[in-house]
Amino acid sequence: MTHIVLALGFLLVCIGFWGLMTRKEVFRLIISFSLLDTGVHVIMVGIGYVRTGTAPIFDEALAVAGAVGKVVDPVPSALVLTAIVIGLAVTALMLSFAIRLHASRGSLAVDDMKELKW
Amino acid sequence: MMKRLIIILALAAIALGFFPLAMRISGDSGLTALATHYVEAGADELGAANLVTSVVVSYRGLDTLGEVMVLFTATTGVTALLGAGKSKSHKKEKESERDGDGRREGSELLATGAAFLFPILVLFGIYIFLNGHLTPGGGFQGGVVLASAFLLLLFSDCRLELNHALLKGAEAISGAAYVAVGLLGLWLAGGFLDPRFLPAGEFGQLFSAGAIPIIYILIGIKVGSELTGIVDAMRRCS
Amino acid sequence: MVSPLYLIAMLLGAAFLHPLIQNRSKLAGQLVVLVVLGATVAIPLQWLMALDIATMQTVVFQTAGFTAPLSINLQVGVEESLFLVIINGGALFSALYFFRRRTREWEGSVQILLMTLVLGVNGLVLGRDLFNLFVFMEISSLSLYALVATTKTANSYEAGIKLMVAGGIASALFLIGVVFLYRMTGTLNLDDMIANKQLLDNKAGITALFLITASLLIELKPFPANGWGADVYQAADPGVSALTSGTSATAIFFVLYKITPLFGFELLQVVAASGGITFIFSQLLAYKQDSVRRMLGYSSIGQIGLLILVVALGSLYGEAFTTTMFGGIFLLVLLLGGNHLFSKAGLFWMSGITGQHSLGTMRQSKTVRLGPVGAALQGILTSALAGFPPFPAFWAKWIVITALLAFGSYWWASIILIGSLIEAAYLFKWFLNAVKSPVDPGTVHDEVIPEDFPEEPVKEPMAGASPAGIVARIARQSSGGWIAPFMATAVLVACGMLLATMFILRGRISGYRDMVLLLPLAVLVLWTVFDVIRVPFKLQIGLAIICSAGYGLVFLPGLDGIRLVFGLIFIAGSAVQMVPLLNRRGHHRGLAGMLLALVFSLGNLLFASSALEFFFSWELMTITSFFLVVRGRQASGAALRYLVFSLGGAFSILAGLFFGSSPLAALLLGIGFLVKMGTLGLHIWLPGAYAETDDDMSTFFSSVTSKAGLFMLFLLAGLFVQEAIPAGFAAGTRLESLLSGIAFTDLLGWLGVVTAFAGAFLALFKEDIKYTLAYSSMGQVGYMLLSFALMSQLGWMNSLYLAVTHLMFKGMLFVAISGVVYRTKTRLMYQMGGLITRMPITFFTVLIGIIAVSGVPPLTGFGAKWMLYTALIEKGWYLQAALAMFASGIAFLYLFRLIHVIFLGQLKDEHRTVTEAPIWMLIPQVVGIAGIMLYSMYPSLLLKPLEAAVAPFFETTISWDGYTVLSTLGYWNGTAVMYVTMGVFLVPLLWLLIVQRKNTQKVGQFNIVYAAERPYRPETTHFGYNFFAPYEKALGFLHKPLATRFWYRVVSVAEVAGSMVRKLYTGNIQTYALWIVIYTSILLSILQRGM
Repeated sequence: MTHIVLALGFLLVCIGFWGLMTRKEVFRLIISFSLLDTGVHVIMVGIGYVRTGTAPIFDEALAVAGAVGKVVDPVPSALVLTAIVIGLAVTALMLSFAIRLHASRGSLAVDDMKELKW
Repeated sequence: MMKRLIIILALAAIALGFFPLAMRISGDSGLTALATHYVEAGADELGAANLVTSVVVSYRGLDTLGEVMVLFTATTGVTALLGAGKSKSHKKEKESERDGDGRREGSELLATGAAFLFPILVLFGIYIFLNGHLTPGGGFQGGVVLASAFLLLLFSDCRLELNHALLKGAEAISGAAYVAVGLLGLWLAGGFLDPRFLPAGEFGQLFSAGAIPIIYILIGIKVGSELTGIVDAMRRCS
Repeated sequence: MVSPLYLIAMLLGAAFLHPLIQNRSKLAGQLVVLVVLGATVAIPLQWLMALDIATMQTVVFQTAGFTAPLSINLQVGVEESLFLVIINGGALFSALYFFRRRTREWEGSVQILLMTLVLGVNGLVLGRDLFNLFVFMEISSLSLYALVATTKTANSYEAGIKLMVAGGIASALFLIGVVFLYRMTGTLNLDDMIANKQLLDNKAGITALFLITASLLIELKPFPANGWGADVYQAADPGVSALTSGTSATAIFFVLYKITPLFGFELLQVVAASGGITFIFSQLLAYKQDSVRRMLGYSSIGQIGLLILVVALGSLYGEAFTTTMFGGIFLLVLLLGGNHLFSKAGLFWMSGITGQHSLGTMRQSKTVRLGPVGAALQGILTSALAGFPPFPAFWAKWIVITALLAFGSYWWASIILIGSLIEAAYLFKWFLNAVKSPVDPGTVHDEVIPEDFPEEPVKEPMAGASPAGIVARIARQSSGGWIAPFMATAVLVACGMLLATMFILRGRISGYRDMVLLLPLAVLVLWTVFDVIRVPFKLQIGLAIICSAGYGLVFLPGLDGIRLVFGLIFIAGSAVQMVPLLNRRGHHRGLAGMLLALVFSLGNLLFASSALEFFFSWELMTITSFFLVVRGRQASGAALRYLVFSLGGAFSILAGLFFGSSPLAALLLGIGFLVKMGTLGLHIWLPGAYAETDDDMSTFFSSVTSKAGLFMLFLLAGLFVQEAIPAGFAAGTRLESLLSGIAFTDLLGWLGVVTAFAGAFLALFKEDIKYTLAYSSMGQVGYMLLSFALMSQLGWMNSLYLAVTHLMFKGMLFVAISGVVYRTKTRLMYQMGGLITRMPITFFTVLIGIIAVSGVPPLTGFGAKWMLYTALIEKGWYLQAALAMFASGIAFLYLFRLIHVIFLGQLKDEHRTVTEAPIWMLIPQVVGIAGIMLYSMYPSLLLKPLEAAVAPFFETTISWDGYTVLSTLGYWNGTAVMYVTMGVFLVPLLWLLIVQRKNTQKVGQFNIVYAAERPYRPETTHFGYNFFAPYEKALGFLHKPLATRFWYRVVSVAEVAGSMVRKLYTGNIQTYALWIVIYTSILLSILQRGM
């Protein structure tokens, strides 16, 4: 299970990279970036998985005593929460850059972004 | 074509590089020592039923404060970026609306649905961040649901003007209050962001886990108002 | 001790509440930012006072009421505190920059972003939890992303998107690395992880560690995956660039520094390689840039690469670094990082204030020209960045090179030195470009002969000349922002002074003599104060003369032998030659102080007791003399050449100092000293520097500073007696038999004689009088080198004798000529003539001078030639003797021309009202004449002390009979020679004046009946124009500038390399992403292969 999730995550990361390097429009780059980010989040979740583990929330079904061995690692879950919000923030900022770029240059094509070089 | 080949080669090399990582991990190796401690002692130490919440808000509270800060920074950036052309484009937009070819009015269906869903969504968002220490959910999730309620409103009525002073005020006050709660932890309990300056309460009840619910409420308000602000800024600009 | 949590809470609270405050009152908003940022500097200072610095104490602060692995902790130690002081200090100055600029961008949101950025970097420095570091990294990155857009141009949005994509990839790599590290070690805490380092000692562990490292490296913009970084520097507001390059990069670098204890050997090597490659390639790229901001950007990238290299090498070769100073590697990082932060930020601010974008010619009309204060600031910042003393980078560079060479890491040492040289070249190119006067084309390296009919100046469309442009310029000028670079400069200067005191004194203050090495710095400070309080220039120079005399009286009596001889040359010679400066009117800021500092640092070469002290004085001499050369009207091109060659020589010396007494040491040191002397091949800086300097200061360079190299040769003479080729080199081949037995002195001897020949020859064909004298000086130095290389008593005596007399006659000549130029307002000889009637005293000086130079009896030059030929023949160097003889023949030709063309012939119309040179210029001439006459009549007055000076080194070969010197080949009686020559001279003179008086016939100025040439340029029909045309036709092929061409070739190789590398940066965001992926995958596969 863990390996499948990890493989999926890495696959998403690679798709994200592929998109970043081949898609010719800024908006698609941002989508590729989101894919990349999602892949990373999948990897993080996958890392914390424990076979037959459940969510680390105590209730009637899960008593505090003897919970070890029955729950997945809460740390990666906590980390991924933070990572998701940060990814969201970066995406929002990227989108507003794209909006501004489009407003001032009238194009979002990657090939039109060549003013700065060398 | 050559470039494609190089890209494929580079990606293959990276994937190959990741391989040892994936091979190292398996689901059978159990919890790490740190996680074991959280699972065994977390409930006693903080009194929150949701362990992830304990980790997010308390053990790794500084991360969460930082995360709020990241969102705040992004909001500042977005409003600074998109705010510049605000007044002008907005005026133009209003003029063009009068001409008839402005933004499309939300459909009847959307308007009715939004009016119906808005209070439910708000309520749901509040529920999520209030119960963050008991059930899956928390300040961020609740805040996002809140923002989605406003997003729906904005979709349905393009002339809707949000009260910016209120948004800004809610954002600033909730943020500052979060910092203040952290400092209270430093002065009254074990350290910065220690929620235990309030009584732990009864395990599994709404009023438990010290100041964790308070923090989640503040985060919920802050995230909700920030995301609403971002969405609003983008709407005004486009 | 204030808890660091208050620091973070304060920044957070202020940032959150700022929008509300800003709404009420803009001023209150600004005040909040200033107070908060001020507190971020004050709090780390408070920590420093509370911590025990000697043991590098650290204190850990926990959060959330739990201890470390459970919760996130922060660490406050000496390292963190020091770094935060500089980082937050830089941010505070940035805020000042933005405030004073009063640009529209600087509104509430940017103030908030500044605070969030500072929050992020403080978290980066303090945090000990890997994931927490990620959060803080994102805070600072997001703040920067948003700040990039403040210029609100399409370019800045483009750059911002590039930056975000790169940053996004870096974040993804970091996250993947962190979670795997957590899974493998069971902790996110850095200290725990270091304690359990062995858990990572496998392929997966290394890979995870590498991902984190790669992420940090990408944030720090490694070559070649750094194109977006350069784009950001180019497009963003300079204030934002200053934050990127200083505040943010330094903090991320600190994270890298923090996690190095986790690294294994292979990873350290990979990191070092990446840093080193980034350093050298960025410098090459920066050299090719036209855009000032992009150039500074590449320079920043390079400097950070250097920091990475140093940290990695420091961990690899730990012991070599730790033995040098307290704090070991940390001190280095602090010095380099702090120096870079303030100097680079300062330069970015300067570029923002002047509005200078391009290094091209168009800049004149568009930018605010730097006034004296601006030039001083930019000069200091540039010197600091280039690593001149006393600034922190100088000491850091010294420690790095020392440690690397001690460890045998020659490649890294040479990469650092070459990179630094390139960096100094382009930084000073920009400095000169920013301060040069409108008449300075910046490319003057050789004499400029004006066209007969000057071309109509092409009128460029003057963008800045329109009323709107002028208004904009004035607005920009008054908008200030000066306070930020000023503060940065002040910090650098203060730190520099402190470090100089620390390193030079090393705690031993036994008497005032230990302070002597610091005198130049004290002088610079004091005279700057004089400038500020507007002490009149003449008073400043007067004080300088008195101080030099005082320095001589106090310190020189403690010396003996060769040191005393050179001490007198350096100090007494300089004091006399400062007199002409009293003639200047008006205010010349910084001139007197710089000059006195130069004199003192020259003098300090005599007192340096360690390699560091020597190198400190040597570099100080280089930079002060550079700032003197710059002052010339058209000197910027020459000054740049001078600087680059001097610095290259200095680096060669620095490297040479660590090879003991091996042939390599002799070679490297020798090259350094010969550059200073300007021997053939290394001379191409010389004519421009001597000639384009202000007329009344050329004499210092020619007659005083060139002798510094000679002095060092004397001091380290033992090195040069050895064979040039180390034993066993190319053993068994024919090459060995060919080369064996050749000592360095043989090479030096040949070099000397060839230089003497070339100097004289090149002087021959110059129309510009100062170039003639400059080449003449070069030739004279050649004789000194030749005499030195003889390694015999007579040879050394002659070398010293020449050094002393050259000081007198060349000083005299330069001062006399500067008087002529001062009066006639031209330096071209064919525009003068007949000045004997107007300037008789000057004529007399020149007459004495050229007789002394040329070596004809009866003056001092004759004695020199006599000793030289005697010594050469004694040694058996007949061929050299013949060449030297030939060279002095040529020398006589140009000297003859000098006096003939300027003083004889007919007076030009425009010079009819010329008067004798001012009194201040005549004084040194009279002193020189007196000295020459004295030593000509009584050579023993000079020779006997010189004999005593060299006595410890050689067996005596000469003897004395009264005033007569006896050698194995003959004798020399100065007095007798004088009487005989006077007789020989006076008889024909009287005959001419009395008997032949009636037969003289005046020839009109334009009477060229006998010239046998067609005058194709009316202005140049003066008989002095192209005076030696026949010789030039016969021998002209010899003075083709071979050396110049060689050096141009070297430069063009560097430029071609730079332009080829530039092609990597296509500006395409996807290519950039590809480079990041390739960079990561290549390093990763190298690393995994290594396992």
